[in-house]
Amino acid sequence: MQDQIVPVFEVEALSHRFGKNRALDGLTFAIAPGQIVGLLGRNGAGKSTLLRIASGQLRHKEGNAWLFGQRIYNNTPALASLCVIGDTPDFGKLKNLKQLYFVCAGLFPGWNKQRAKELMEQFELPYTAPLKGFSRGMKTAALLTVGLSSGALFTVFDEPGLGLDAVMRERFYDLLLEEKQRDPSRTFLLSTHLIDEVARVLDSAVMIDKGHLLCQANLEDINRIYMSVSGAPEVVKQETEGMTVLREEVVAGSLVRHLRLQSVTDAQRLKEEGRVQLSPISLQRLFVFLAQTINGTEPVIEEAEE
Amino acid sequence: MENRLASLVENKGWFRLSRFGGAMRYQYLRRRRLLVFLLVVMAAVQIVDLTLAFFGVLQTRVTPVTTDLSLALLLLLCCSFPVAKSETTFLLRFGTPRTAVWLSNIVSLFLTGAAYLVLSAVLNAAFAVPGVLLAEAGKGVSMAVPMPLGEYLLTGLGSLLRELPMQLLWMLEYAAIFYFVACCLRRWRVPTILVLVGVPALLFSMFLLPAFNEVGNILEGGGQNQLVALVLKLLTWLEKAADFIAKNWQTIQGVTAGVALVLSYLVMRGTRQPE
Repeated sequence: MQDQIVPVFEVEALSHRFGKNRALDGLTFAIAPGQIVGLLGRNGAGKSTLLRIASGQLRHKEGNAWLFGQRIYNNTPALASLCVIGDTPDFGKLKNLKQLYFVCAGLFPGWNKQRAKELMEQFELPYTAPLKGFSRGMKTAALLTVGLSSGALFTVFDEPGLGLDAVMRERFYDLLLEEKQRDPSRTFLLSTHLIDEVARVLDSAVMIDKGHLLCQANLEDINRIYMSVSGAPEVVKQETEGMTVLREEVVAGSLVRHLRLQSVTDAQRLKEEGRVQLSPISLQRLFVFLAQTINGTEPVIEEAEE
Repeated sequence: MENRLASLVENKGWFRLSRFGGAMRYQYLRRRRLLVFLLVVMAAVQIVDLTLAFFGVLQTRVTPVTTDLSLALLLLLCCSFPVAKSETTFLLRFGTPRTAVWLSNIVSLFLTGAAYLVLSAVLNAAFAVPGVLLAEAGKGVSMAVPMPLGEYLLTGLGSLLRELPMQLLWMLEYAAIFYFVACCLRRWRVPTILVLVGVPALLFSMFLLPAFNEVGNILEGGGQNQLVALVLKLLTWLEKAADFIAKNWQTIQGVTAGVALVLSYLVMRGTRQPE
């Protein structure tokens, strides 16, 4: 009998409010195992609240949230498989990386000491120098080494690029892909504002705004379904009739429509006819269009037709 | 993936899965420095004391071979606040289950108190050696009951071993009580302070105000004998109350600790983690 695939992280009609402010509003999605997933949202979209619920730091009030099919809050087996690296570096009163790794070896059942030391060298971090003297970027990098070496089945990075320079950010993305190759069963969730920058490492994306789900899909599907169509205004209007237009622009006399195709065969047809130009929409632009036009009513993309 | 989680849960015991070991490692690093610092300060005080006695600057007494119970309790009280606040926050940030954090907090507080008790006794015993030798040489150090070094150490060790188990139990009880207070202060700061200050003040005023009123009435009436009788009555009542508390103190302390232990978990479990 085939094993049923249990989502790594799943929420169903999840809502949470702080006083009158509704941080999450009926959020429903699931993250499949073995992926690098981007959690994309504007400031105040509910990302941090969602991550705090995912890491058992906050008890949700409405709806359901599961880690590996189990409830999260104070549930030892579920939390054992999790590593959360927050956006605010907090080392407690630990003095240096040596002490941090000593504690982490006890915190994470799958901790890889050798890997931690390798990563520390890759990020050019000193082992015994005081953490107090670390720059913001070095502090972030120190926590990234913890997340990557934790061996946790589900690892969450909240704003992993904060404070890191461009070289170090790229190094982190490379190391993330390397880690994914070393252990394909690990799942990573990256919550970030640097959408286009992380796009190259993502397998799928979850976009949220004002506590609602805007879109959840794997990047391949996004690139096939969401397109920019440009050409003579009349032709573009005619060819894209009936499709969901996210935004319309006029550039140098040409009409550009950013839209959602009805199916992948639409793209094929438009290409074959050759009357309009087709180009994929970048993840960041798509996020902006969805956030501005859909207002949280866009459903999850269904499996694209071949 | 499911198999991977299942094998993780099956192969690692609660100790590993709950991150209790990691939490204890963190607590060990935090307490180690404090304990070393305190012991160095204590040793320095003893060295200065004996040196001054040796040079005849002051007269001192031989260190008794006992534990520093009051200092150990003060240490527990001081440690319980950061344990309940910043250290808990740090551990929860990594997704450590609250049960493990709570247990590690209690255990680490107890171990800190116990370690301090034992180490302070060892330190006192170590400084009793030069103390007794100086007393024998008549160098500014006196002993309550003069006796040879070996007998002094053996007597001290005997009474220490008799007292230590009970003192360790007290450490556990006070660890639970202080931790509960610290958890309440973290979660409901103002109400907790109000209760800690207000309840004793209320009881005190409830007891004393009627007495003051009665004394005032008697003085107005000019009844000297009545006043004496009232004071005697009051003193008898106080004596009975003190006697009852003294006789049942162990039970009161034990029950309070047990209740505090349970409540501390409930309070800590529901405390919202700061962002």
